[in-house]
Amino acid sequence: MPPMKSTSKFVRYSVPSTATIAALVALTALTSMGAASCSQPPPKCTSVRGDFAATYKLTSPATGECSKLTGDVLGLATYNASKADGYADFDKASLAIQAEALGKLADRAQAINQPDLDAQRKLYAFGPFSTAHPSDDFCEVPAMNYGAQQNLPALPLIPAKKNDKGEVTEPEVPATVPMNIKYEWSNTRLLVTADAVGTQMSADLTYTENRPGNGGDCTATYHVVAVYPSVPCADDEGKPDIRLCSPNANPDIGMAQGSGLNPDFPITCDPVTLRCVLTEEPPAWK
Amino acid sequence: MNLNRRGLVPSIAIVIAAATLGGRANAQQGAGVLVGSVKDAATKQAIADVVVTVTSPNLQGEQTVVTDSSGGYRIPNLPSGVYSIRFDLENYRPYTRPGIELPVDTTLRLNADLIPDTLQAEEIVVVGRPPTVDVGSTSTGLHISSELTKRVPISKPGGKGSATRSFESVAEMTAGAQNDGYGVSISGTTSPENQYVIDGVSVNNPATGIIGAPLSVEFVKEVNVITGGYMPEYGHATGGILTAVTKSGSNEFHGAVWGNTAPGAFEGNRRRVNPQNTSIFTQRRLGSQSDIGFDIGGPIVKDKLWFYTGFQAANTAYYLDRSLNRYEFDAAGEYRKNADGNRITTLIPYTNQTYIASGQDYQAFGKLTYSINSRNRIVLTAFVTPSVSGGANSFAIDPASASPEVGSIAGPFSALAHKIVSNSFNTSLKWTTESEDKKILVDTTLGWHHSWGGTYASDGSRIGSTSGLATVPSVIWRKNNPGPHSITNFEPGSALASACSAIGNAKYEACPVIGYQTGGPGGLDQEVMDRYQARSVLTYFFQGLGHHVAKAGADSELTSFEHARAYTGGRVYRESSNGGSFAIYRDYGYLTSPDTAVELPKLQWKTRSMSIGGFLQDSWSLFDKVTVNYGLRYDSQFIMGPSGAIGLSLPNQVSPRVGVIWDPTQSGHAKVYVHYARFYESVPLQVADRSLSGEPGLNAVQGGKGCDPRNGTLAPGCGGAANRVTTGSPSSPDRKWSVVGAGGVPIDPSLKPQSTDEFIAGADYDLFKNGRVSVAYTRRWMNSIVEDMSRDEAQTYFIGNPGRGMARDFPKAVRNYDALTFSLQKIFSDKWLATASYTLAYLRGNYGGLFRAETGQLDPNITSDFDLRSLMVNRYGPLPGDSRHQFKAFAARDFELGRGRGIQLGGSFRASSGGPTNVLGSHPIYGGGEVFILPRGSGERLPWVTDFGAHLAYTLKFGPTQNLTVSIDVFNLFNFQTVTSINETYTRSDVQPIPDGTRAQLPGSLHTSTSNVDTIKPSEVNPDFGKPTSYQTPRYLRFGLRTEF
Repeated sequence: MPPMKSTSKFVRYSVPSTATIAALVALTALTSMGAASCSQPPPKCTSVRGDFAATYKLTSPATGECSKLTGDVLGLATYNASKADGYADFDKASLAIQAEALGKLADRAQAINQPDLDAQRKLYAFGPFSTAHPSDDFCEVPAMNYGAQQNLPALPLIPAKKNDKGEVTEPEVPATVPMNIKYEWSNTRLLVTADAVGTQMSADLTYTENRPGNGGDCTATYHVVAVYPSVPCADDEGKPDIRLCSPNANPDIGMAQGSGLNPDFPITCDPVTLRCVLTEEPPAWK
Repeated sequence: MNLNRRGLVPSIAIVIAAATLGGRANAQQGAGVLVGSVKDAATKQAIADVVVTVTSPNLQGEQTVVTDSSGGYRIPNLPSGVYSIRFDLENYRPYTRPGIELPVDTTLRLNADLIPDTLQAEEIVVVGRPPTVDVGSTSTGLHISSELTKRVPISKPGGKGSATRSFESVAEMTAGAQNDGYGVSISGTTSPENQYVIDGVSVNNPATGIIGAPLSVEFVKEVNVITGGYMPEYGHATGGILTAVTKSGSNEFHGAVWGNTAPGAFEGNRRRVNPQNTSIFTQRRLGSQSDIGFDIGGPIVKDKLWFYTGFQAANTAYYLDRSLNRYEFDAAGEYRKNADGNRITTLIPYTNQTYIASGQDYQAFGKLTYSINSRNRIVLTAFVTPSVSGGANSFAIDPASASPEVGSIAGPFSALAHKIVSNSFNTSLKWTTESEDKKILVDTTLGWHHSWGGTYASDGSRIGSTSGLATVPSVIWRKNNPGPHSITNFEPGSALASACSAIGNAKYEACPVIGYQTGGPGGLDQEVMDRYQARSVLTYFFQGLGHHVAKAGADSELTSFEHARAYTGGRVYRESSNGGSFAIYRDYGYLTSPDTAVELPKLQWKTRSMSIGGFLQDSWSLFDKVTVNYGLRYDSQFIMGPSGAIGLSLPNQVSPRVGVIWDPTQSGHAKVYVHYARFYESVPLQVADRSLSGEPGLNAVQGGKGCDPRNGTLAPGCGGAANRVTTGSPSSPDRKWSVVGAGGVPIDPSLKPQSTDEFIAGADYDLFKNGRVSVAYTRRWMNSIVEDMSRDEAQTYFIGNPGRGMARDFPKAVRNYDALTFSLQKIFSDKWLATASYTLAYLRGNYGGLFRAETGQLDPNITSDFDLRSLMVNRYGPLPGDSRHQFKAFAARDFELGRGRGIQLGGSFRASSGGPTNVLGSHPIYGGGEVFILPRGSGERLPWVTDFGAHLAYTLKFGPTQNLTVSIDVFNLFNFQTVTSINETYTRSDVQPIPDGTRAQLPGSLHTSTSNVDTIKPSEVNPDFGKPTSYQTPRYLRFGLRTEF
């Protein structure tokens, strides 16, 4: 094809001069290279949902039945308020704590058809986190809206369970007198970091037993330290075996998978409660 | 000078024309460059101030420049086409050379020797072979022109991108590229890691990273597949760059009308794989795949304003043949098996039923090219790609994989079928401006990729509908204890009941079903995605100890993903394994306090990502002898979760890139080069949509009595509180509800972005006219990857880098790719073309990429890879894409028969050695197929897959540019049906891996997960281990009719 005649090369159109554009582009290129760095977002206040292995340390004088607690399995769960659009508000979380001991007593009352029918008395304590994000790696529930409470009837003895060979597989559970039990939690703190999102907990517990008509009312305070998950570490003879707390599978002792405990937590097998527990106050790291 | 010779042919200037195949380092995307140097023919000295002018029918107006003190000239930013170049200077004879073919994105080197007016007679004629080697670039890859794509069979029917014959489906012709489940994998990476670019604008799907706008090759002038060695001007990818340059108008009207059809009737005989544990057999075959379209381009104002527009409609249909079959038993009551060890089945009469899976894809494209003046040009493009599949009478086709949405029709149509709608709208505005002397060029692009769509119920009802299938909960049946359901539990008919009744002492169900579904179709969704992009690149050409082509650029990208999800009827119910109860298995919602549930009708939120980047690079020809390319790119990406706050922060992505090129011939006939580069991943938004927001869900168990949805609908009260089974334990505050997935996954504060490094060394040599041979060695390796992991056996997860930071006790991610490629390329000239390559490659590691090829899970950066340390044993080995040898060859020849008739003959040949297979078992937490019993790749290697294709066309010319073509393309000409995958499950039991084990140790040393002494029983070994599960796609024919004017 023959070359086409061009329109005038020298007509000035109103486009920015090339030099100006060039300078602008170079400037943008250089400033984009100096962009400030931003850090990752912090985790939100929450606990893991499930069973924690807790040890109780008595902090009041040792008197009465109430000061005999050593530890328990605590069920923790986090809940969220609703936002205006109906979705969960992950900045407004609340914590519930339920002691397994109280749950088992309630199940026994249900088994003899005498549950505590008062809906105001719950098996769990419930209270809001004070912040949306941890400060100094901790999220706190300073006070609960309400504590756990149950009015229980007299409960019958549960005989020991034996296997075919006559060996005891579950010990006898003694009968109880009617009791009103209260668990009051305060200063609940959860370790919340990217590596441990609500898997270590500490709190103060006021435990009260009220025995109407039988005397022996008591109350005791404890400092509680708990870790998730709750892992039993009793071997076949009922002795503590720390190997069951390992975060790694161990087929030699029949462990198909690890305990689920964070490998960086300092753990021991508590000889009294026979569960894997923290050896230090949170924040507990190896 | 001898006066006597003056009478002979006048002396001609020396032109050593160089057609190059890949001048990417120096060319803007889509534009070509003409460079060269001018010398005095007598003194061989460089001449400055020579006026160089180029013209072309594809160029609006003409472009002019003058040579510098070294005699060099450079005319950038030229659209591809046929050019005429003219050299003028006082006291010299002007020289014009027409007919220069400048392909897309290439740099053509044209040197000239001008003859002084004073020089008489004696011709100095040196006619050399034009060089084809681009001495300025270290990029590897392939240019795929429309000359190639219309002469060889491409886009095999039924494959990804075949419906629209999209531009990325041709990319697998490149050495180092192969199809993976979701697109094309380049240099050992996975398809979501590529950048898909059309006219400089990224069209990746903002959520998953696979292609978001599958533009037909009909609208594309050329596809550039860059597999490595590229400069900092390309970013946002750890794979390759697939860039398409679309067609434009010109000063004359040109266009075409076309139609193609691939009828399923011509499908070659398929080898079939029959299931072994269900009575429902579903076989797929192609019904047809057809498209018609037209395009036209031309001038609105000659030399000033051109237009190009086109339209294509395509239809794809598959047939799904379903039948019910009963198993046969021997006297002992065991399954009767045939010689291959497969269970024998008998077809139950009158149970055949054929379903359709079909879809339609439309594309409309428009472009305006406007030349403001000789130094400023604007290009505006816009195109839409609406597609719809499925509906009241047809199953849908999954847009991500291009396969029908169901593999096995285990349920009624209403429970399994969907209507899937997927659209994209893309527009870009590109402005290029040059300085008077063409030494400064600024190229600015603004683009918008907008896509929307959704998955609806087959009756069209959608999220929020108050009637229709969207309001009916889905029910999944999965009883297997003590045995599975019989098909007669779900499908009526006395003939079926009698065929399936128990016979003799059969130990198993005669007509078992596993995983049956009734009720509504379950998950629905709707999506709107956007990508806004702005980019500007400044190029500066200057001299300084040689010549420099320096570039500086900035680009920014804002993507958003608005996603709504829901379950039909709000819930999915799932039968328990013993059939006694039904769990609320899927239910979006959360708890505000113990056992106080808020069930959400849908989850809907919007996540966003913002990326900014900049680069500086220079291509420096040191004393015009050796070229050094060096540069630095900086990127940062921030991902925002639904609340708008930053969810994932990936700043400070610094990518250095450096290369050296040396031309031993010093005349553009050969080059030797090395190049090092770092690439960073651009994280797609799926991670923000799923992990950063959590997917709050609720589970509960509803009693079986009063809730047996056998007839497809749930009894009233079935799902209510009164029928809810108490679950939990004495320590649980919740005794009716349980929670799955809530809140977000925390991020390791020391997280580093995902990146990979590459080293390339190679050489090219210009062997014959318009053809060259090359050899290249590529090595790629990973630095850090971003994945979700758990250190406490799936109790809690976090996002981090395996091997460092919070995840220091995880093994590092390894993906090593080593490849040596020999290739030959001859562009179409003298009526023939050829492209051939052989690649010897090793792909080894423990990380496949952004999707898991073993399971097809497409969740970039949050797949189940690396989730637990116990999953990582034996994971290192040859990765799924490891194919040791790959041969590819394409060739075509045009024959002229006289009187305007012609024949085109083309062929394709592909042969690749088979990939690795594994020996898998079940993991106590993660389940089936997640334990690598033996090191990765310890199974049998799959066999070679060979494929021949042919193209035959008859052309009739009835005018200077008008012609008619009738063509046939044959794919898999000899209908080879090689095995392409096998069953890799060695056992379904929970087992421990044998670290560095071998096949000889099976099954004797294979321990269960609970003992180092007990091994699995022989009955636990899967009898189907190693049996074929799929075969090569059969032969297809595609007929085409095309007229061009």
